[in-house]
Amino acid sequence: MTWLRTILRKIVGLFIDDPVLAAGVAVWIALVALLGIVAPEMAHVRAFALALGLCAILMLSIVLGATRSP
Amino acid sequence: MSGHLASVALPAFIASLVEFVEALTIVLAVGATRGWRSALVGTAGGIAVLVLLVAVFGPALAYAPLRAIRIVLGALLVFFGLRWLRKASLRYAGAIPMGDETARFAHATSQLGGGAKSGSIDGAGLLTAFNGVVIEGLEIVFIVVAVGASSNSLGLAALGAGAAGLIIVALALALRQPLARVPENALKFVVGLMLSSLGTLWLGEGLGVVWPGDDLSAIGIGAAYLAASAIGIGLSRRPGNRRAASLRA
Repeated sequence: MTWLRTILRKIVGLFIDDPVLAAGVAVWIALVALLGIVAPEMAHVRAFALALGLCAILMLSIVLGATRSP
Repeated sequence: MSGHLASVALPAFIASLVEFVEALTIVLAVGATRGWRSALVGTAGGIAVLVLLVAVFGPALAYAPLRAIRIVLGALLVFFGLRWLRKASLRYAGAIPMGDETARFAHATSQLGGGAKSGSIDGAGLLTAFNGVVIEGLEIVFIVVAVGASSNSLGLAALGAGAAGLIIVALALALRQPLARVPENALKFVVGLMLSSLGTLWLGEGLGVVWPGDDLSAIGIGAAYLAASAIGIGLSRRPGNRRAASLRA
């Protein structure tokens, strides 16, 4: 059972290491998806928003991670 | 075909190299302390489980609508890729220590206890090797399935992972020691970039966005992630961080 628990923890850990990064990415994806419903004609704008927003979240997460490291 | 090789087989190959090196360290530690038979049987069992997972999940995804696959697996690839990219960036910034296979090997052998046993199978050694291969291999399975299913090229992704496995096994047989010289952080950074870019591209397509230049946008997205990482590393790199990381290592 211990190894099963370890594997389950590992599966979650595959995608979530820093909760702030994971939450930021999830919220941003949801916002871009929502924008697709509200303004479907802005397909190009959503492409840039998706990519650049995720880049900004990554950058923030690196800086915050470095600040939090002991 | 060459585009698929670059976007499917290459990420699977590089990511698998990194993970196989980590699994190999555990298997070598088991072999050296608990006997090679236990290490090899545990490894074979672990590989069988991983192959089974790819064989079950890979073809099963072929029945799901492509748009749903791209949204779900694209998002998961973004989460996965950004995690690797962030970790590699923090290592470059000196905020966390670099991976060290020699230290990992020493830790594993001390945990398993000394005195190599030959002949009979050792239960603890077998389980350790099995766990190590399955746990490290789960990342390979995810990448093969996600990249393969999103691009409809599961065979090519599996081929990339298989080639990496063969190379690592050949190196292990030749060297018989942990592969400490593999530039793990650089590989993780490159794979993180590739998977984040492909994940963003496929997620966007699933969400109905229009990428300028279609699939070629992956290059621009990768460049944007590279710039974001570089800025993040630059802002985080401080003498204090470097010193703390070297002390912890």
